[in-house]
Amino acid sequence: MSLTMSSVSYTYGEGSAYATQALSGVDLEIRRDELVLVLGATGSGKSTLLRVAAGLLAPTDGRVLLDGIEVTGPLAAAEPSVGLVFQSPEAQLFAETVEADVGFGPRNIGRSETEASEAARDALVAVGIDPDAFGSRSPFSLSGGEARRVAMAGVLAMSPGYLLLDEPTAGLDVSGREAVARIVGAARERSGVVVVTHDAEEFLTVADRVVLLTEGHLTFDGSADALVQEPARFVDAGLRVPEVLHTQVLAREIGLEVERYSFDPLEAARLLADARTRSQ
Amino acid sequence: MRPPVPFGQYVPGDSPVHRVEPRAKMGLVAAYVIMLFTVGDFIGLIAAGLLAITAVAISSVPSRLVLRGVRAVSVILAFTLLAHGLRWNPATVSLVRLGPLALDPEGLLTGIFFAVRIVLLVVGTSLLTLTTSPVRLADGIERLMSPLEVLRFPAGEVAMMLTVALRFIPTTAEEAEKIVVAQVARGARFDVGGPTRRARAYVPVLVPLFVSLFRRADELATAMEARCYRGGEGRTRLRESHLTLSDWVVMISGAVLMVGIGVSL
Ligand SMILES: Nc1ncnc2c1ncn2[C@@H]1O[C@H](COP(=O)(O)OP(=O)(O)OP(=O)(O)O)[C@@H](O)[C@H]1O
Ligand SMILES: [Mg+2]
Repeated sequence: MSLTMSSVSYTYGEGSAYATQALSGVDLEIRRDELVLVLGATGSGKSTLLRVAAGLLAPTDGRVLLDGIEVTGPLAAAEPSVGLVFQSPEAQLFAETVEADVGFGPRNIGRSETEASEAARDALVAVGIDPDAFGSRSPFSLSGGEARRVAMAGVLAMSPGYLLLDEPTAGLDVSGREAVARIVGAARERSGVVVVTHDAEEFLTVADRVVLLTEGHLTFDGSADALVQEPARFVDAGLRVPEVLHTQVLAREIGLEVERYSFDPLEAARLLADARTRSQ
Repeated sequence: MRPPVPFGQYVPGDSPVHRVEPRAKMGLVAAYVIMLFTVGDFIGLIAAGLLAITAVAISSVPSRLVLRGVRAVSVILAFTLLAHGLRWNPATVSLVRLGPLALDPEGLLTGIFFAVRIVLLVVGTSLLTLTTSPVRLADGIERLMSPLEVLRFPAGEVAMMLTVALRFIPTTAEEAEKIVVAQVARGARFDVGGPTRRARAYVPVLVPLFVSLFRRADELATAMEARCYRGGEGRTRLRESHLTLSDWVVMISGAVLMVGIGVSL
């Protein structure tokens, strides 16, 4: 069971003077039971990758397969369905009430009225929004962080088998980020999850696998730990080296014999302390 | 799945058609429209058509983009043809009959005449917007209107409004596309059901689009004020454009030629 891209390329405005190749020969498999983190600089093709994976853009080359069957259109109503939370999804809220907006997806895929409103309430609870307090409010009266969570609930309400999130924490404060991290943590119990971001720190510790996207090419696909052992890869992909990792790199540069790198602050501190003991 | 890109959007280029001063170009288009409405027969229309084809060829704008404008009025064209070409229960016998409906060859010819005129009208006017950048177009309109300032007509403000509005067309189209895709990802369908259902399907697109447009308009107004925009008074232009001698020659000779053809054919 997996959502698979095989040699996928995508070019915007193909054949026109403004053609931009956003993806080149991407091979990627996402299983139902894993959380994949996609890292890439701005313009590296992350959003395009998600749109292609959700069947919203047809690849100009290559194929997308959902559980072995070739994808030919939007996967919102497929079985299992693929849900996509867009960059700044709060911009897509439209209904009169929060509950109606969250129920929009389930109703679109043919759920009955009761099923849809039940799914909406469950999804709101899952994102930490009280359906009784917020359900009948206008989505336009929410704060930025609340609106983001309601928009995420709108996708969760369709109980996607695969959940794709495009920079879910962009523009949120600490508590908003924590809330989103909790939502993602809960979602991975039920779905395969892909999180796209250019800020590695947030999800590096929870990801089963990390993928690096550099100008439309997949330049790394492996465990977070394997990636962290090669900090130069971040730089090559146009990304900032995570702070914890940078400190360890500098420690090695000033002569400490750091055994290996870690992105976990506590483990990193231990490794640095060990290195110091050894050097004395 | 995605809404069509608005037709007539500027295609950057450096053809002779692009280079004609915007006011001269507007003058020429006006003359062309007059010509279209004064020609009385197909020979005149053919002449007008040849002019349009020549202009499109010189402009090096892909004809696909020009024809997109024509496609946008295809319903009007079909209606024109049918309204003229079909007769209800005519007394005279005509060629093709389908129940009480009958095809009237003479009416059909009239219909074709009007339809071709509409096509040329669209081609001529969209060639103006296809080859003139929105900013220069608005600038040209402002300068054409500037004599009205004597009558306290706010030419500068109107032109600024036009510039801003034109500037936002591509942004809005892009935004609309994003929202459409996002709602499709939530299972929205724009291609099923009758006209009412289809129109209603656009509510989830239009509401957020308007909300974001109003918000952006508000932000833009504040930002413009913060940068000391106080209306058109006392503003200088970044790029002064002048009607050169060759612009005058092109405009006057072109206009005389077209109106001449229109009146005489
Ligand atoms: N609708 C579009 N039309 C043309 N080109 C596009 C379009 N959308 C994206 N692109 C181009 O495709 C490339 C990849 O864009 P994409 O949005 O996938 O990047 P991204 O990695 O998501 O960037 P960001 O981190 O800024 O969101 C960029 O060069 C971009 O300019
Ligand atoms: Mg993006």
